[in-house]
Order: sequence, then C-alpha cells, then structure tokens
Amino acid sequence: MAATMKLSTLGYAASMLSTGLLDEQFQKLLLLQNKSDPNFVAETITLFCEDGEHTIGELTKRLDKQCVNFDEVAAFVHKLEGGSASVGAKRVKNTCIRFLDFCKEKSRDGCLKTLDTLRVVFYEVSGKFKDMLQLEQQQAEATK
Amino acid sequence: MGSNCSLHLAWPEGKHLRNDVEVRWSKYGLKFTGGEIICANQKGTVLPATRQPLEEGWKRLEGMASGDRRHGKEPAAVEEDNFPEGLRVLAVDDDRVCLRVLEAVLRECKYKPTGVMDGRTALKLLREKGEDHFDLVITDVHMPDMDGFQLLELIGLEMDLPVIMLSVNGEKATMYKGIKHGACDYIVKPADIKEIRNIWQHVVRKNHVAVIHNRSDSDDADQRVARPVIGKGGAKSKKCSKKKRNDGEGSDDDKRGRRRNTWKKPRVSWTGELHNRFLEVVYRLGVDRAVPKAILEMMNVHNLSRENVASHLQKYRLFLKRVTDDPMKPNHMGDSSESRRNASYMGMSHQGVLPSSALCPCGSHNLNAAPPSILGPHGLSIQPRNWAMSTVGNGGLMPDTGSRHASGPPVGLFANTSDQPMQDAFPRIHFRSGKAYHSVLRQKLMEVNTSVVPSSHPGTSSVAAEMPNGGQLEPANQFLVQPREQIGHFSGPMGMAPSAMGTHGDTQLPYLAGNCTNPWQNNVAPSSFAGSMVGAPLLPSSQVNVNLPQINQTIFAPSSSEMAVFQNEQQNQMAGTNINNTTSVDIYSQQMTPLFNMASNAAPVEMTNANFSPMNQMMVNGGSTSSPSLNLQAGNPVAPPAQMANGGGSSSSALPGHLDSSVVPPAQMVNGGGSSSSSLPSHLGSSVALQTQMLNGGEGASGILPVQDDPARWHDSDHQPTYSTSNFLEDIFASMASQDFNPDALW
Repeated sequence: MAATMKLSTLGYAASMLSTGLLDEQFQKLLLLQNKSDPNFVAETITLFCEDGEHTIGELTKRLDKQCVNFDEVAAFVHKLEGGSASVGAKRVKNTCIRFLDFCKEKSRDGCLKTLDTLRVVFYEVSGKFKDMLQLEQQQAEATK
Repeated sequence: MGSNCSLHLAWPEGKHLRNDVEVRWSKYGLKFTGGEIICANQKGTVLPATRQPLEEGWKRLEGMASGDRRHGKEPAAVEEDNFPEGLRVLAVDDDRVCLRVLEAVLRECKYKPTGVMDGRTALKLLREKGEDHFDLVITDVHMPDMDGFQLLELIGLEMDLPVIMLSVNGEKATMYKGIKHGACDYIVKPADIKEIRNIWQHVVRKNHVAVIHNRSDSDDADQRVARPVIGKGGAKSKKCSKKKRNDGEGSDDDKRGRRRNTWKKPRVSWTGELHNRFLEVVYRLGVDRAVPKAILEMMNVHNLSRENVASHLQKYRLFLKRVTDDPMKPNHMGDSSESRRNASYMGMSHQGVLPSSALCPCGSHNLNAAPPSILGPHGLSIQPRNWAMSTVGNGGLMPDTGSRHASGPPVGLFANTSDQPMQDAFPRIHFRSGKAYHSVLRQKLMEVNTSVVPSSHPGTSSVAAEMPNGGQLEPANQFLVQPREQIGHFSGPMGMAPSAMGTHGDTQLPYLAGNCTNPWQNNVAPSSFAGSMVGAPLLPSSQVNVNLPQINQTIFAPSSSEMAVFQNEQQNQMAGTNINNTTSVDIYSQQMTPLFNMASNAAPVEMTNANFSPMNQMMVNGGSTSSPSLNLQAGNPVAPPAQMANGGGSSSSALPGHLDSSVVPPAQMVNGGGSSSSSLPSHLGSSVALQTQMLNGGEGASGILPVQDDPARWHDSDHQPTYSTSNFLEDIFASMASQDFNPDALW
C-alpha cells in the first residue's frame, strides 16, 4: 500500500521534476517519509497549498491598495519563498525571489506583475500536488 | 565507561554547585573542582544529597537513547555510541510548512525536535523548561514579531545554548549578521539532511569548551578557545564575557562537517590586524628580546596563548630567514662585517656591510635585529629601525663608504642614523595591501624628508649624488633638489629621499622605496644636482647612484631602456659617472639609491664623495654592464648581495674605489629584472625591501621596491629619464598593490 502510493506519487513527482516545476528537494521530502510518519509528504504539500493560497490572497489584497506597505508584502512573499523551497516548488520559489526584488525597489507595478506570475506558477504546482494526492488516495482506497 | 563500570557519574548537563563542588558535565566528560565527588552507580543509586540531579541526569540519558533501553543499561553507551541521537532540538519557524519539513529532517537524524512557531513561545519554553532541556536551537531568521537575531541574542544572554540560524536567504550579509550575533551556524533553507546531521558538533563544541575552561584554571591560555580577540563588540562580547567560551562561535562555520569528537584546540587565526600587532610588539621589543612570553604580554590580546605566539613567532622567523637569505646569497660585501648582514635585506638591521659607517650617520648599526619588515602577505612592516640603521651604510642601502656619510641620504633608507628618527618616521607599518603601505610610506618619507633635509647643499655637482662634502647629506640635498628638477614627475616616494639625503646625519631613507616621486621635488631646492640626478634622488652621493642602477634594473625591467637613458644621463651628471644604460632601472635606482646603497657591487663600494662616477658606474649596471657583482641585470636575480650597483660596465663588483664598503650588499637589491625579490638591499630596510620586491622587473614580488608610494603617483607616462624613477616606482607600486601576497606562501 504504502509502496503503491509511493509509486504513483513518484510518477507524478517525476513528471513535475522533469518539467521544472519541482526540484530535488521534493525527492528529499519523499525520502523523509517513513514508517513513523507515513503521511508526511501528503500533509506537507497540503499545508503548502493551503498556505500558499492564503498568502496569494493576502498579497493581492495588499497590492490592491494605492499605498502599499512593501515590508508587509515582502514578509508574506518571504514566507512563501521558504515554504516553496522546503517542498521543492522551484518555480514558485524563483518567482518569489523576483518578487522580493520588486518589493525592495518598492515598485508596485513590478510587484503586481510578479504577483500574476506567482499566481500562475503557484496554482500550477498546487494543482499538480492535489492531483497527486488524489491519485494516492484513490489508490489507497482501491487497495483497501 | 565500560559496561563493567560501577561508577557512573551522572549529572545533568551544565554546571552545578553543591557544597563547594562545582561540576560541569557534558557528554564528554566531567569536571570537578573542589569538594567531593558525588556519584551514583549505573543503576541510579546516588548519594542522597545529590539524588535530585542525578535522577534528572538519568532521565536525560534515557530520553536520549532511542526508547527506554537506557534504564539499567550503561549510560555511557549513549554518550559514546549513540550520541548525537536524541539531541533535543528546539526548532523555531513561523511558516508551518518549513517547520514541518525541518522537524522531519531532524527526526530523520534521530534527533528529538520540538517545533514552535515564534520566538516568544520559544523563549517561554526555554525559560520554563530550563536551558538544560534542550541541546540546541534552530531558528528561522525572518519572523514577524521577534526575528531570529533577536531570539538569538536573548538566548545568548540568558542561557548557554548553541543557536543555528536558518533562512531561505543565503546572502552573505545576513549570514554574517547571524554569526556576529552569536550564531553557531547558518543554514540555508531547505535544510539538507547532511547539514543537519552535523549540528551536534556545535553542542559538543560548546560543552567541551566549557569543560576545558574549567579544567585549566591555571593555564587558561593554553586552552583558550578560538581566535584571539582584539576587540570584541556587540552581542558576541556579551556572550563571551559571560561564558568565556563563545569566542569560537564565529568560526564555527568552518568547522562544519568536521568530526570533532575530540577536543582540539581551536586554531588561532592570525588576521592581518593580529599579525600587525604582533609585529609591532616584536619590533618594539627588539628581535633579541622578542620572546613569546613578552610578546604575549605586550600584545594584550584575549584568548591568545603563549604557544600561539611562540609558533607564530617561529614562523615569522623562518619567514624572515627565508626572505633574507634569498637575495642575499652571495654576500660579497667586501667587508667582513657586512657579510654578516643578515639577510634581511629587508632592511633590517643589517648592518650589513656598512663598512663605512661614515656613511650612515646611523652608525651602522643595524638595528638590531629587528625583524625585517615583513613584506608580503602580512603587509609591509617596516621596521623603523632598519631604516635607520643599517641603511646607513650598511644596510646595504648605502654603500656608503666609510667616510661618507653623505650617503646618508641616498641611502634614503637609512637616512637616519639614529634609530629614533627612523622609528618615528617609519613606524611599524604593516599592511596587507601594498597600497596602503605605499601611502603610509610616502607619508612617512615626507615626514622624514622634511625633517631631514637640512643641508642642502648646492654644491656638489659633479657627483650628483655624492656629497661632496663629507657631510653626508649634503649631497643629498642636492640630490634632492635634483630630483625636483629633473625628475619631472617624480612625485613621489622619493620625495623622501631628498630629505633623507639632506641631512647629514640622518639620512632618512630617502625614499622609502618607491617614494621617489614628488616628495623630492618638493623638498629639493634646485641644486646643482638637479640636473644630474635625475633619477637618483636618493643618493646624491655616488652611493646612491650606485645602487640605483642596480635597482633600476631590477625594477624596471620593462623600462630598461629608459633607465638606461636615465642612467646615462645621470652618469653624466654625476661627474661623469657612467650610468650605464641600465635601463630604467637605473633611473629608478637612482632614486633608490639611497635605498640601495648597497647594492651595487659586490664589494661594498665605497662611495666617495668625490667620485661619484665610480659609483655611477656601479650603479649603473644597467643591463649592459657586466657588473658582475650585481647581477642585477635582468636575469640575475639576486645580484651579489650588496653590491648593488653594478656599475654599468664597470666592474661591478666593487664599486670602484670609492665606494666604501658601505655599500653593503645586503641588498643586492637590484635584481635583475627577473629575480624576484631579493635584491632588496638590506639596507633598505623594510621599506626597501618592500620596494625591491616590486622592482623586480615587475615580476615577482620581490625585487627591490623602492620606496613605495602611491602607485597612483607614479605615472607611467613618460619614461623620461627624469621621470623614470617615478614611473618606475609607480610600476612597482602598482605591482605591489596588485600583488597578491599570499600568506601561505610566506609561511
């Protein structure tokens, strides 16, 4: 069961890795999962997706104002950067890095543009993650 | 402890004071001071009075062992085999994804992580449970409310736990900040398991240090940790003063990955600053009296042990020896005394040959043994003393013939007879970068010059450098003057020379190598010399000249032609001496003359006032001459020591007649372009040495570096004879500055 799950996850991961959506950190995550914490990966990426969505919502809200508090914006972006780095979401991480540069420059336009990119990239990876989890779950149920 | 051990000392980690017993326990050892030993056996039976702590200790061991197996089992095993398993880590990160991943990695390493999401909670936990409850803290840097640095500082203040910073930001500035605040380490997210596996080392390190510090109360010096701290500031110092053992934190980064199971004394890192201080002290003490203990005391640096100093001193000595031995190989100084010069052409005190004490007002004594300036990786250290001394005459800078003192100035380096002036003029200057040195040097030279120049003497003409009058400096003055006129652009360093030359007695190093530029100009009043000495500012006396050529050669390898020209000119000027075509080097050497007094030929050439020409000849050994003695010509790396000036063509070896032996070979400074280093006429003293280095045709570091001056000062523009020196110097400086002195190479 666990093995099956892992396989499908791995398959998904492999495709995401090859497209550059994920990096080797994700592979390390997979390796970290073990008997004592069998749901580690699933839980982690679920948290990532949730937190990421929340962050993007906050960013959208803050950048919507005319007077943007770039420090706050940067704090959110930074958090997302850390999370994405931890799960291996490479594109999200790189977008966050660029986003932070615009925050430093206090460029609202730059931030807005990057936010759009971030949204795209994030939903891409989080969508894939969700699919992966779903697949695993189905498999788990199927093998029950 | 073996399985049969019936005595098990178990104490909660940390320090405990009970009934006058101080016990520090770490997984690696126990230290007791005073009082009685309280112990318990493996089974946990302890003397009543200490039951409490022991129980805690036991618990800890149990906790560490994966599972419960500890009970009844040898706790020792935990320490030896399983550590760092069970390491209790407090993980702090405001992002739950990161925190989760971090905890997973920590668990994978068999540690025991506790995760919290903000700094305040972390502190609360630490305070409540006691710092002994955790072994290590890993915290994110960027957190709302309390950021990682603040947490780090607070933990450092209140408790003695190793803290590792974690951040997705891998920028050096942030890392640096972390280390400065006292972090043991800085990891970039996502934390790799390999890195996390090694974090236990920080725990060990801290404990060990504590243990050791306690152990050796009497001889702390030997056990001190980490780098000597010359000045601490900020958070770190608080921690340091508090704990006396966190000095090594900053250096922890380098220790990553290295197994540190056994205590190893942290290496003292001899930074530039520290080394400068060391040199300063050594100079002050005098080479003879520079013993590690005294040096240590004078240095007054924390965490530096006598042993550290001793080994450093030994290295330094070897370095000096190497440096001085090199160029000075054949020391032909006619003078037996000189032969003794010790190498260091670095100017140190070598008395070098100076047969002619007359030459240097400084009396020919070299400064004592002061360690030659160490040029090179450690920057330049100029030994003031050397200047004064040896240069005069012996030092090699000044070939000064006994009777001439005059050469004083030329010698530039030795300009002053007395140590004193020199010392003032050239305080220890250690620089890691040539550039700095140049400027300082120049400055110094200026000072010297101004003070020195006294007698300007217009007269002596013929010999350009020569000081017609016995006085030494007189010619120098003239010399000085000359430079001004002739040397068009000289701006620089040689400037000093003039002054140096000027005074009779104190020939301050005329040009501290390299500074042959303007300074002279300024100082020098037009003098008869002017014309002739174009390049040779330094040494009005022939001596100077003598050297110069040599130097020129060396230094100027590239511009030899110019030198040659210069030289020739000089020669003419100088009473017809023939300055050979030595190339630019010659010119330069002119400037350097003072420095190089010695240079030139093997035999200490005596520079007689009168004759300058011979000197010139000597000096010039421009490329063409055969000057056997100094092989300065390119290619001869180290001309016969001391005699630098291979007069162009003239018998290089000994400066014709006039030069009194004062020309001390020590320098052999003029290294033919090719050689590196060496020829710094010793008399030059450190500064020269430095310069010489540069001079070597620009090649290696060594060479004679004429007084260094801001490279900038030297303009490359025209290699006119007059200018050449400056040009040359610039080249030198430039090359010096750019040179990457590799400390390793030296040591």
